[in-house]
Amino acid sequence: MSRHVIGIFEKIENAASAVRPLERESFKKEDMELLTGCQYPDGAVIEEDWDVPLWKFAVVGGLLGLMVGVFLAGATQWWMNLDVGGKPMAALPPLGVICYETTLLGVILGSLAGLFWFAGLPDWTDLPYDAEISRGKIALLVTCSDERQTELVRKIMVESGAQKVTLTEEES
Amino acid sequence: MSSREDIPADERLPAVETVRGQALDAGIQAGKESDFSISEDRLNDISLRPMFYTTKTYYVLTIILALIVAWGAACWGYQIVMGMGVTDLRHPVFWGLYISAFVFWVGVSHSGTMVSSILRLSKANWRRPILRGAEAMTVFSLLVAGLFPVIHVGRLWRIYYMFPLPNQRELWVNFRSPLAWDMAAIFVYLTSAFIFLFVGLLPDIALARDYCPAKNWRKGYLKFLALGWRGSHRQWIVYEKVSLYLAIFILMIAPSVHTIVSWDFAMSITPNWHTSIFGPYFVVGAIYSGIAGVITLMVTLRWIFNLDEIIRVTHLTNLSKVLLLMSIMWGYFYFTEFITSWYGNNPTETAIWRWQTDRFGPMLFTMLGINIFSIAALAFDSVRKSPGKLFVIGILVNVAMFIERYLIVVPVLTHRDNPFTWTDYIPSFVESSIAVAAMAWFLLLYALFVKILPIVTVSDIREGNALSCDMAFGNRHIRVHGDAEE
Repeated sequence: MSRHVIGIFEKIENAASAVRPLERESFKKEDMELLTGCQYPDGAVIEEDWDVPLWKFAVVGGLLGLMVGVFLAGATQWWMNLDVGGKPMAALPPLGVICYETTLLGVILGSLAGLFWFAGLPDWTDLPYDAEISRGKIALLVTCSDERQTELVRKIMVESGAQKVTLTEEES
Repeated sequence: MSSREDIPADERLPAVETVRGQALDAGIQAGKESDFSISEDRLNDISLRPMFYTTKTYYVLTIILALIVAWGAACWGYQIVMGMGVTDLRHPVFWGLYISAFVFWVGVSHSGTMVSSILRLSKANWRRPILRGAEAMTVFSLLVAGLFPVIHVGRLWRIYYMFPLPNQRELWVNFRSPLAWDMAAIFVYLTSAFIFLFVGLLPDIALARDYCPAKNWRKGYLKFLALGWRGSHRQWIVYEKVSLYLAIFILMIAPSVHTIVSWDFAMSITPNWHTSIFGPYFVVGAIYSGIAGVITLMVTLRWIFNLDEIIRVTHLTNLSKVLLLMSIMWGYFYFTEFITSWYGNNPTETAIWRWQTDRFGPMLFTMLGINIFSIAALAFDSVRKSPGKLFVIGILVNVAMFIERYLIVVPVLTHRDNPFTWTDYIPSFVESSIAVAAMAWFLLLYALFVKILPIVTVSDIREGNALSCDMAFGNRHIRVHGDAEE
C-alpha cells in the first residue's frame, strides 16, 4: 500500500519552498508530483530532466501517412490499371498532392498518439488528485512509504504554507 | 558581459520581486484596462457560465436557428425527391450557389486554427481568450462546407464515389481530378482541426469535470472526455510539446486546403479560372473572411453570455488590426488578378469581365464597395474599439466575401465559349433556402457546443495570469507578462 500526501498551496512560491526541505529529508524527485490547473514553467517547483521524444511518434505517423498516400494515389493505379492514351499509369502531381495531405495527417495522428503515450492518457482510474487545482490552487503530491514519512511531509507542507494537507492511500 | 553584482547598487534596476512587492504595498492592482485581473474563482464562474447557465436570449436564438435548419432540411428532402430540376442548375451552369457556399465555408474555416496556430507559436499574449472560439469555428464551418458537395451531387446515395473505394468495375478512384484532391484535403483538415480543438480542450474539460455538480447530466461525458487528466507537471510538459507540433503542422495543412479548393477552378482551362494567382488569392480571402467571422462570433458571445470580462475590447481591437491587414492584402490580390487580365487585353478574359460588370454589376459593386468601406472604416481607432461597429463590419465583410465567391463561380459558367449557350443563373428558392439554412446550421452547432464544452480557454488564461504581475511604472501601473523562455 502506498500513501500519498497532497498539500494544497495558494501560491507557487509556497509550493516551491516545500521542495527543498523534502529533498533534505531524502525524498527524491520521483516521489514528488506537481498538479496544477495551468502550465507552469519547468523548474518553478519541480524540475523534470525529461526529454519527450515526441518526434519519433510524429515521424512514424508521417511515414505511415506517406505509405497510405502512395497506396491510394499510386499503387492502386498500378494494381488495377486503366490504359488511357499512353498516359503514365500514376500521375506525379496527384500523387504529390495526396501524399502531402496523408503524410501531414499521419504526423498529426502520430503526435496525438504521442500525447496519449507520454501523458499516460486515457486513465480513468482514481489516481491521487484534488479538484482544488481547478480553482487555481497548486497541489504538491508526495509518495510516502510509512507513517513516519507521512507525518514528516505533512509537517513540512504546513510549515511551507499549505492551506490543506490530505492523505490518500492506494493499493499498490 | 557584466553580472548584476558588478553594477553599483544605486545603478541597478530593481528586481521584479521588489517592484511587485512595492506595487502590492502601494495597493496597486490591475484595473479594468488590464487583462487577466479577475480572481481564480471568478474566472471559473465567468468562463463556465455559458455551459451551466442558460439565458432566455440563448433559448430564443436556438429555437429560431433550429426552425431555419428544419426548413432547410425539408428543402433538401424536396430536392432529393423531386430531383435537381428544382434548382436552376442546368447546362452550362452546373456549379452555382451550392459550390459558391462550399468555397465560402471552407474559407471561413481557415482563420480558426490557422490564426490560433500563428498566435500560439508567436506567443501573442492576447490570444488566450479567443483561441477556443476560433478553433471551434473551424470545425463547424468545415462540417457545413462538407455538406454542400453532398447536396450538390443530387443523388447522395452515390456519394461513396468520392471516397477512395473500388467501384462496381473494380477500379479505384482516380486521383487525377482536383475534386478528389479536395475531398482528401478537407478530410485531413477536418480531422486535424478536430484534434487541435480537442487537445486544446483537454485541460478545460478536466476543469469543467471538477466544477460540474455531481448530479448534473454533463458529469458523465466530461469525466469520460477528460481522459483522466490530472494536470501533473509531466502531463503539462507533453501537452506543451504536442500543442507546438500541432500548431506547426496545422499551419502546413491549412493553406494547402484552400489552395486545393482554388485548383478545382484553376486546374481547368476555363478563362478567368485558369490563373496561377488563384491559390494565394483564395487563401488570403479565406483568412480575411475567417477573421471577420471570428470577430462576429466573439462579439456575439460577449453579448449573449456576458463575457465582457474575458473577451475584452482590447482583444477585438487586436483582431480588427489583423482584419485590416488581411483586407488590404485581399484588395492587393484582387487588383493584381484584375489588372493582369485587363492590361493583357486577352479578348476572352476581357469579355468575361465585361459580362460580369453588365450582368452582375450590382453584386460586383456591392462586394467592392463593402470591402473598400471596411478598409476605410477599420483605419479609424474609434471603429476598432467599438464591438458594435466591429460586429457590423464582420457581417458585412462576410456578405461581401460570399458574393465574391459567387462571382468567381457563376459568371464564367454563364458565358462559355459558344454564344448560344450564354445564359442567366438565378438560384431557386430551394437553393437559397438551403444556403441560408446552412448558416443557421453552423450557428446552431456553435450554440450547442457552447452548452456542452467550455468555450473559453480557461487554462490558457490562467497561465497568462500566473506569468504576469502588476508593477509601478512612473505614475502609472502596468501589467507585465513574463515568458519563461526569455
